[in-house]
Amino acid sequence: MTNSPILMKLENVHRTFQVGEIAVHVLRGVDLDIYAGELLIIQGESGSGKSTLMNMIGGIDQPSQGTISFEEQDISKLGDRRLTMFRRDQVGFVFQFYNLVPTLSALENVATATEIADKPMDPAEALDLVGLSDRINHFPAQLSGGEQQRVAMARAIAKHPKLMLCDEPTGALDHENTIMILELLQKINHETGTTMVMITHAQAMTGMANRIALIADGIIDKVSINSAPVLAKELVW
Amino acid sequence: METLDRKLLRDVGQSWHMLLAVSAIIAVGIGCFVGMLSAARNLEYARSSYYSSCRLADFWLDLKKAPAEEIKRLAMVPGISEIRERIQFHVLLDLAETEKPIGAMVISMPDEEEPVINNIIIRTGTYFTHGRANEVIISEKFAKARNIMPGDSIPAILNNQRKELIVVGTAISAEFVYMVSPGSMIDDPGSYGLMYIKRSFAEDTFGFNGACNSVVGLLAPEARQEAERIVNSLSDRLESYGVFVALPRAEQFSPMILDGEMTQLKNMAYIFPSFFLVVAALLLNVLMIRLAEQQRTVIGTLKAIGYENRVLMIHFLKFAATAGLAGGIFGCLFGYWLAGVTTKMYVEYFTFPKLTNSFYPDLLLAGLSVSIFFSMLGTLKGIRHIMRLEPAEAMRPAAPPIGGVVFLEKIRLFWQNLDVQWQMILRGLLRNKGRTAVAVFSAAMGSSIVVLTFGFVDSMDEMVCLQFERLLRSDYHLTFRNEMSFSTFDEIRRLPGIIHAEPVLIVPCTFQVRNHSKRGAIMGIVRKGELTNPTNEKGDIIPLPSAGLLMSSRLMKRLEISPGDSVDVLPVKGERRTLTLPVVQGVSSMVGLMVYAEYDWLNHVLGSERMINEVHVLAAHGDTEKKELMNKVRTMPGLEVLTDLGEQKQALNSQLDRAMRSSAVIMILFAAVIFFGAILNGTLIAISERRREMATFRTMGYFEGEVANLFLRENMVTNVVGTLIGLPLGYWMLIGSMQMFVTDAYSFPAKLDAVSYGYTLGLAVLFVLLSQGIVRRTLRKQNWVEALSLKE
Ligand SMILES: Nc1ncnc2c1ncn2[C@@H]1O[C@H](COP(=O)(O)OP(=O)(O)OP(=O)(O)O)[C@@H](O)[C@H]1O
Ligand SMILES: [Mg+2]
Repeated sequence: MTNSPILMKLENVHRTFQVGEIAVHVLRGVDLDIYAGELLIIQGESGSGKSTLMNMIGGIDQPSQGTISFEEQDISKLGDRRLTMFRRDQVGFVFQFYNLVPTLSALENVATATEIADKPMDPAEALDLVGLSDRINHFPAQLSGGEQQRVAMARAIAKHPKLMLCDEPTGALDHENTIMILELLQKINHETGTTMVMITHAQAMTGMANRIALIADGIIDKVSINSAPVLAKELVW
Repeated sequence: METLDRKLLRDVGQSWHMLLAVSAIIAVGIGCFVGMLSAARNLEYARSSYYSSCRLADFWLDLKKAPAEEIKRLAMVPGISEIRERIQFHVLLDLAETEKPIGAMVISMPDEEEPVINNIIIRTGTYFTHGRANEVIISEKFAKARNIMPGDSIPAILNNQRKELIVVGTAISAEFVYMVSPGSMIDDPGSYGLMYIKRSFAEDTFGFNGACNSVVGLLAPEARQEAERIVNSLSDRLESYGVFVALPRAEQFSPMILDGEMTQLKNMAYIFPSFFLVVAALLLNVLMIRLAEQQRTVIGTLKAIGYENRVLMIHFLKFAATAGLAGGIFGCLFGYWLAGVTTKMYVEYFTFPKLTNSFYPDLLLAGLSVSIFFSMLGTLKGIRHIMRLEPAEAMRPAAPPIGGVVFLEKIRLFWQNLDVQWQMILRGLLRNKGRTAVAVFSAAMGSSIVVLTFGFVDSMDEMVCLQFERLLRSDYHLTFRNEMSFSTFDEIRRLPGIIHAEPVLIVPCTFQVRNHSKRGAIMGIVRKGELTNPTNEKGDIIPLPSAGLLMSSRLMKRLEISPGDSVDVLPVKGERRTLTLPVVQGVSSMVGLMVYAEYDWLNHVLGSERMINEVHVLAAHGDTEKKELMNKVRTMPGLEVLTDLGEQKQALNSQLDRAMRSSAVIMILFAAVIFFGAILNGTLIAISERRREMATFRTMGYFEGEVANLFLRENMVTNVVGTLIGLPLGYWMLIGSMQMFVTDAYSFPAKLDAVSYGYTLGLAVLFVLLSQGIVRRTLRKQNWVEALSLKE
């Protein structure tokens, strides 16, 4: 995959949080390239800054220092409006706790994304892709965790994002549901060529990635390349 | 429909109880706003067409007697466009069905109908015919109250002669939109009438051939700003004919009262509703902040997937706007109804050819805009929360609420004696400062309205008490047209049924100090008399000085003098020389601007024999005695007015009973809306926020009632504290509004009985207990199992 064009480039990215008097220096110079179409897994200990990094890749946070470019355009200093447009057009998010709107049905939750996107899928089609066509009118409270996460995925893919970001997407799920979600992610990655960045604690999942980046002490400590990714259902747990 | 709007609908559906509570408060505020402004406009429209169709005068002068030809020439004076002179007298009627003589004012009208200044509008019957000299047109209200119809005849005592007047019609006039009988405080249509008689008949009867004693006139449009100056120069010019009264329209009784009523209505339309709207905006803020906290992750997620701040802001503005819109629409409907009720009430007090409630789209639109504006105001803080929320931040779990010790815990002796539940409640209240402050503030607003209401009732009772039990203790006042010798007093004293009598001399005059001057009268009363007792504002009787004046504090203020200063007094009648008299002390004067002096001293400074023109009497109350007395009184020569104070007090009391007590009930209901709205809004938010906590208590074995009690205690604390703050607030408002009502004609005391504070507190407690019913019902409907497993 390293011969694919570079989709995103992070150079010397720092992020500091001010907590009262104390400055917490979480990222201290991250350099990372993300290639178009790859599946990149980010690993690191709890509190090492994985989510912080992912937030900056997705444009819901900005670095204290350094640059992040997407298709050669610097997004690290964009104003709120342009940054919002970047997220709206390019990024699909999948969160650990699904983050669905509880008062909207599955279909309506997907519609929240498609309504503001440029050439989106039909929300029903997106739900069909994640295998929920018989649940479209259910509300989040009436869905299992795995089903809720699939709705969240439908919401993310429905706008045809170039980049999909998943922060521990299976962190709250059992084994069976985990496999199902991973298979879906992989299918999307393969069939649509959507670039995927995923955070996980599960060592087993690294088997399906093209590359694995390890964060430690605020920098990318190591990037390993997996020359032969396997299918999700073939992962060894 | 956009998906976000669907979310909006469901959010509204979930919190409709709270939105309804807020809307109800808005509706009351907007209702009062629209209602009072509409009522004021109803009056305004009715007034302007009435005034122009009757050609209402711009100024009035009452004289002793002046040649008509000379008055007519005043039309040449610059600034004056038209003059009318007429003859008018207070008279007594000798109606068969009434025990005592009824008073009336006769006013001359041209023999032939013509569009004169202060014209009348015929309501039934006709204008004068050529047939009889003694035709009369009587005021419609009096005719209705006395059941007199065209064709009837009325025996009247005109210039000491008993004459039959033939009623040809009934009429109304813009000059008397509001009328009270002389010396009275309220209109009692049956006790005093207006009678229009032919000019020729008036001349003959009163010996006024070619003469007049009343002047009314119109000013040229460009001279209207200077009405006061022109009237003063006219009255100077006519001084030699004896000027009793000289007033521009703004100070003439009926236009002044009507004007005052409309001004008050308009002021109240802005002041009163603001209480409700401010409370509603604050409650809405609490609700919006809660919503923003509850929807933290939802907002963060929507931002993360590309929703702009602006879109989300509009989304939440719409949520608040539903409360504003609902409140506004109900408020407008309520306001229209309120305007109708108010207008109907005015029909009783004011006489207009047509006074009806109309629909004013611009006022309704204004009401709607104001309510939406205040609901937007109510979103400010919540929206700020939402705008500030960074998506990355929103993904992280909310920081746990700040713990730590609250200040009350440091008062160990107090704190340790509380049970755990009280400790929990007090901690919660002190940690949620903003919300607690809103609850306390709402209760303070509610209770200040209740206190104000009780204060109005107490003050009116006090006014009646001061007026009729302190100041005036007589049963009747007998007023004569001219000064009579003291023997008339002796004669009255010996009439059957008279228990006690006191002579009174009223001297109409002009008071002058430097550049201030004001027309009025000095009332000479006997020292150590029992029947008239001037008091200070508190109701303490002020002893009458043997020399010098007791003057209404309001008049002293207008003349800019203080006790010890002197005032120049120019009597209207008699020897016209200026007297310089000392003012000894200020007194309270609720009706008019009274000035008192010792009877003998006043006669002495005037250089006259002991004269009287009024006698105050106490009379026996037995039926036969009263009848006998009245029979003698009705034929007394020169008697112009007979004032029955007992009847006045009764009429005043019954009118206050009707008007005050019913509007008091309405005001208290309005206050109840604030109490209920604030309590329910606050408690329902607290329940939704603390569901898990409540569920934990229930699983631990607490009864539903015990859980509900936590909320009850919490509401008691905030509402009792708020009510206590509202008590002095309401009292200040009472003083303020009584000052707003002050005119030259009236000033009322501000009085609040101690028990009224108690009643207010009692009502607040009652409101809390009543709202607890709804709180318990809501708790009963909660699904605790679900709450326990809920992930928020
Ligand atoms: N808004 C913030 N304010 C202060 N500190 C923050 C903030 N966001 C993150 N941090 C700190 O930055 C560090 C990294 O946080 P981050 O959420 O990126 O970790 P992570 O690698 O995703 O951990 P986990 O695996 O537990 O999700 C933590 O120490 C965290 O406390
Ligand atoms: Mg994380």
